[in-house]
Amino acid sequence: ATPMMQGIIDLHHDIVFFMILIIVFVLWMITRTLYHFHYKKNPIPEKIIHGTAIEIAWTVTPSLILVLIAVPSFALLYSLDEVVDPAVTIKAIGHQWYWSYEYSDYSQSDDQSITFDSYMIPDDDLELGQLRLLEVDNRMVVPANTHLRLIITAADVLHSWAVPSLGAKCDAVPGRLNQIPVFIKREGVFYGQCSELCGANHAFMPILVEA
Amino acid sequence: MSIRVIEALSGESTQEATNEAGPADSQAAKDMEGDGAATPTAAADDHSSPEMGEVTLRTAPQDARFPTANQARRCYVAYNEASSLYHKCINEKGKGHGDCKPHMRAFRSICPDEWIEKWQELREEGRWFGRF
Repeated sequence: ATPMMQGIIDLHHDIVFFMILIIVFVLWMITRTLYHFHYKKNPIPEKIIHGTAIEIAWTVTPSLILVLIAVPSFALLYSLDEVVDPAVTIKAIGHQWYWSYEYSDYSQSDDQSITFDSYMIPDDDLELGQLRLLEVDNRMVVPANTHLRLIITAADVLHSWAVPSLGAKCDAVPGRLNQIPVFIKREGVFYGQCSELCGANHAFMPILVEA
Repeated sequence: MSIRVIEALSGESTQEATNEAGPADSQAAKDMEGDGAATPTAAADDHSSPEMGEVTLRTAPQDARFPTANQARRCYVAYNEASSLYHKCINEKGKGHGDCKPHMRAFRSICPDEWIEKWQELREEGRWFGRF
């Protein structure tokens, strides 16, 4: 749902293509070798020591494949560094064991800031159709098709704010304000979970983004 | 970057007075002005109810001094810069002047409320370790 995740998926497809070629070729070579040079069928092993042409071929070809993999990989890596001024800043603060979100762009005075806590809905309180261990009481609501700046930090121990559909994962470290850009391309509801062990209820502090 | 969003508001409409242009560090303060303010636009939108207004979404832009992912230093620096501007403004214009308020909002987008409250407490106790 974000250009970042789209880029990651595309890179994955590129790499898997080469991977399949290599795996098929290698398995085929191994099968052939085992079949044709079985000790019963071929009792005297051959001793081949040199073969300049083939050695060059099997050095150059993998290098070429690596270059072909590196090109889209670096393209994605550098495109992630692109800087766009965001329109909204949201702070996600990890606590034991819930997330709290602050929307401070709208402060009229020194003390106002839209802040709320986001606790997981326990199994007993789930309604029909809701997902277990993933639903929260207050969702993080954001505008779609808007450049967002997410500032992730923690109030006590390490946490990690991860939403796979958005291609977002960022460690929440106390004393650090980690900034990630997010641009959600469609309306929808996106689920994630805390991704850094943070105590007894580490598995029970999900993230829900609604665009 | 700012976008316009049509939103129903509760009718509060505050128009903050613009500040004097300070050094680049007050750029963030200027960007924070008018946040949440309902400004009826000249492009006559169909506002049947008097409470509808267009809201411009604005936040602190990228600060080239802090290009890294960790913005903790930026928060601290912005707070110090904003405090010094605020106190300079108070000295010039006197306490309670509305013009000075936007300075203290410049860092709110970047700094967590918890950090700001802690620093305000340190100030009140006289244990503040910052520049101003």
